Amino acid sequence: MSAELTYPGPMPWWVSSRAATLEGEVSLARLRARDEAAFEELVGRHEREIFQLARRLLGDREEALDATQEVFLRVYRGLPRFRADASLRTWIWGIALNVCRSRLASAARRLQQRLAPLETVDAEGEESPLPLPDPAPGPEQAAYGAELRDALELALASLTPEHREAVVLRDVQGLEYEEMAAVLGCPLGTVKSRLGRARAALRQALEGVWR
Amino acid sequence: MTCEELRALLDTEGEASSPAARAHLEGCRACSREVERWRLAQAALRELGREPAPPFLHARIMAHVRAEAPGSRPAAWLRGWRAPALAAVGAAVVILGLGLYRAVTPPPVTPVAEVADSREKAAAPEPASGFDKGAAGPPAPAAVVADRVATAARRQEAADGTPPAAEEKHVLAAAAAVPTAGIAAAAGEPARDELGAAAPAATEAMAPRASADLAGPAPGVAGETRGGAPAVGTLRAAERQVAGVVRCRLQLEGGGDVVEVDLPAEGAPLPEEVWSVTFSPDGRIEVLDAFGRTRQAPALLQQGLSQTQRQQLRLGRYRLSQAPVPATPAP
Repeated sequence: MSAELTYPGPMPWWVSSRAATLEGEVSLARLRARDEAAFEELVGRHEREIFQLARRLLGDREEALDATQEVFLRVYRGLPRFRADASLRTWIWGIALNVCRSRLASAARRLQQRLAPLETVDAEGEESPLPLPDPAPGPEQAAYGAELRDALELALASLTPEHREAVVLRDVQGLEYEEMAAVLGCPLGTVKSRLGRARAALRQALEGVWR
Repeated sequence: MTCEELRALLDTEGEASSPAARAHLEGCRACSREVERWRLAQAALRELGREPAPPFLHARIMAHVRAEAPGSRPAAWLRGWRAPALAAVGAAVVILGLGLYRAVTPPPVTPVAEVADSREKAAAPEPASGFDKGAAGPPAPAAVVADRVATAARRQEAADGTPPAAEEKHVLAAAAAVPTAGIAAAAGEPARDELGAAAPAATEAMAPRASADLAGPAPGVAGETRGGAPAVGTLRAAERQVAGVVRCRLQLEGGGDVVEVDLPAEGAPLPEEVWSVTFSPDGRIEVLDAFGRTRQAPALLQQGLSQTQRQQLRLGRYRLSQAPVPATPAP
């Protein structure tokens, strides 16, 4: 099962084979033709990063596994409609963000229904929190290494979904600003300002860790 | 640059490396500490992004995608109780028809050659392969079973002109001694009748092409392989899917090889899951379903595989048998 590249014609000599492998996506024609091998290759290329994205956005491993599976099912269903005006990767990441958002929303709704009488629930669900552990780290958690990691997970969970997306895309997944703008569907300036606010919120959430 | 400006720079750029920032940091201990903390936090954030995905994730995704693929699901009118009901009605019609046929037609005159042939058959007991064959016949020993497979392979060779590549013929022969009849119906396994024996004619015809559906449920047929009678099948590329059989990907630890074998479904109808079976050199076998839950390993795998067979698995030969399979000379 070799990678079939979307580059029209033979690769130019200055494109190394490694770069071609990294950049080249599985052939769209094969994917649209429901070529199972091609789709499996696509899954193999993206499943890890999509899982990691979902894991950080959702804060729960099982939920992330379900989400990853849902993402690729949606990709499979949506391939015939994919217009290739964005890269395949950007499109997949966009789907992943949507899947995670809707899962967060329904999780928040479930939590609210469980915790609060209906009349007190804010219908807007203003940046509703995740059903995750108490984000305030105890004094014993203030340490480095693994404990810093735990504290970070909690701090991430305490962010609003919008801020969490920004931090995860940039500081966890390492996307460039342009990629973030494409995935999030907003201008570069918005991405930068949102990221700035998100990092400020994260630093604030981590305040207790360093004491 | 003020402290606020430095923090803002840190947040937007993720670092404070401009000359103005460096100048401020030299004189401000609080900001230096904050920059150092952020650096630690960023390193930890990158670490968070390296959490490995579970090994079964790929199989799980593909199982669901295959279930989604066109043609992988039975037609709507065949789902649920209808398919088994139709099968039962069909079987009843066939039985009645056979009974009527026998009642009406006189016994045929048996030519001498056929008598001789039937004596040969009596010497090597053959498993029942249809409604009109020895229903209570004893189970065939594994050697006979293997011989039959070889014969079938030769016939196939004669039919399509392609020699049966030794590496591709992966014989799965589960002898009668295996109480829970483990690997009975490998892919393309002949249709097994209710007596639990393999039909040689079907063995010849085994070549339904790969069904894309790996995960489709196989309702109602699981457990038919438990009769204790010998069964034989040919496992080629493990691409095929028949009722009651699930394809397993065998991930060998250490070597990193992935091999696939088909195993009979255990117990209830198959859920839409793929098992991943992990062999370790020390003989430990771990079976995970597509959701990462540990399942009981199929009985044959637990009991039947010798160290040698595991080694063969490792070598990619996939030759599994409960009894030695003698090489049959070509005619």
